[in-house]
Amino acid sequence: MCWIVRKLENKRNWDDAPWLRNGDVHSAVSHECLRTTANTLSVYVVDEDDQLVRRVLAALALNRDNVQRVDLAVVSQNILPVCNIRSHHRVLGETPDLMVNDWHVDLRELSVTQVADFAKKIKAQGTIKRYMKPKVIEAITSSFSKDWIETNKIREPMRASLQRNNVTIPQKNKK
Amino acid sequence: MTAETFALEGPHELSIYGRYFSDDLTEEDEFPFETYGNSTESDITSFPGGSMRFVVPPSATVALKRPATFVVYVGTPKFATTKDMDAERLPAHYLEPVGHYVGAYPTKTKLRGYLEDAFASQEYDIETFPCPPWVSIGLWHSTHSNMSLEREVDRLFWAASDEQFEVGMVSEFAHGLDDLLAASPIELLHVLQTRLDTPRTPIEVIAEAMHWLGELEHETFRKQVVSILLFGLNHESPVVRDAGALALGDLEGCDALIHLKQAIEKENVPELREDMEDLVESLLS
Repeated sequence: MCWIVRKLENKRNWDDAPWLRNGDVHSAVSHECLRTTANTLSVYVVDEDDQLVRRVLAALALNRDNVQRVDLAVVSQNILPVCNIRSHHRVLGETPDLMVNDWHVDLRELSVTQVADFAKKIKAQGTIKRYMKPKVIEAITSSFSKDWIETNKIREPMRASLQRNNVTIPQKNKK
Repeated sequence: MTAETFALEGPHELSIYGRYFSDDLTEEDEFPFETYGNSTESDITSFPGGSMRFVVPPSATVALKRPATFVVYVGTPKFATTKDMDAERLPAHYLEPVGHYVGAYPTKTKLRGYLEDAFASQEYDIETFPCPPWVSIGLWHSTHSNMSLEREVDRLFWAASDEQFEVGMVSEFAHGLDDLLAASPIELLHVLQTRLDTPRTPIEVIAEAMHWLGELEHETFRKQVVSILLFGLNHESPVVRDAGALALGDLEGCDALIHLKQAIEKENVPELREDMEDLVESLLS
């Protein structure tokens, strides 16, 4: 079985609040964390393995301008049919990790109801986790050391940020 | 971005809509743009509330005559009506398509770069846009303005209310604050502190300001920066408290730790309290 991994913009939107009914989520989730583009939501599908989640984490973190914390939702792929989400297609991702790019999936033809159900299932059955900066740096360093990253795809602002955080970018890939 | 040096050459019609922060910019001869390279006269229309539409003919080059702040939308004018151009309605009205389009790209900066490149290479095709072709490509403003710093900050906040922020990406808002900081750092931080406390400021903008403050590495401003972050840490919105805590974490140091530990004591959202505890732990490790 597989996990779905989704980067979240704002973990606070997943917090419980006194005004929320049991199991419900903030409406802000739909325009910040699960914001669709052309009714499509971008996720990564990986085998149930924390190491793979950390690999996705590193790849997503390196796609930014600077090293920051990363908020992720991880949930079983089983929730897709439950939410009646049937249209999903592998589309090559755009991170500097080619393997992670292969794990990228577009969930397509999503309705408001499906997105809402998806959000509720994430909250009920998934894990919303924040990786603080040191953990992000640890994941990045690990991906570098395993030669998973196409370093030439790291943009200049991120290179500068890595330097500020004392992370050495390998000169070139061994492959 | 410094507007004086900016010019955009378009093979297609380009519409620029602006809302200006000066009281006397409703006369056409004071309109801050001019075009080059095309004999066709540009079409300038004023709308209630200070907005203007400026349709640039194909193959013309747009340049700014003097300091101004404006938002650029690219597209064909057939989608706009006078009613749409009411200054208060414009950002909200086009927020959704703008949001969708920007969502396909990591930042507005990238989007702007993409559009500028496309214009430069003459390959731009409005029909290929995956949404109604109204695309905000960000805020241009002048750093040589003689307007007051308060007004400059107001302009930034106004534009930021229409911006989608992404964690780890440098926003247009942050770029603007960087420009102002370079000119008058102490004054800016003072104005910023006052401005953040304005009731109508969106929480996302306050949170972004917190993140920007956390990235400042100047020790000379530290006391003032910490003071603003404490405002964030005590804000009624958990989103702002979270941003304030993370920014304090970015600053590091004993004072940051003390404030974070105090914040944990009084935090009433359990998930946020846990994240603050993790933050403190990560700072201590």
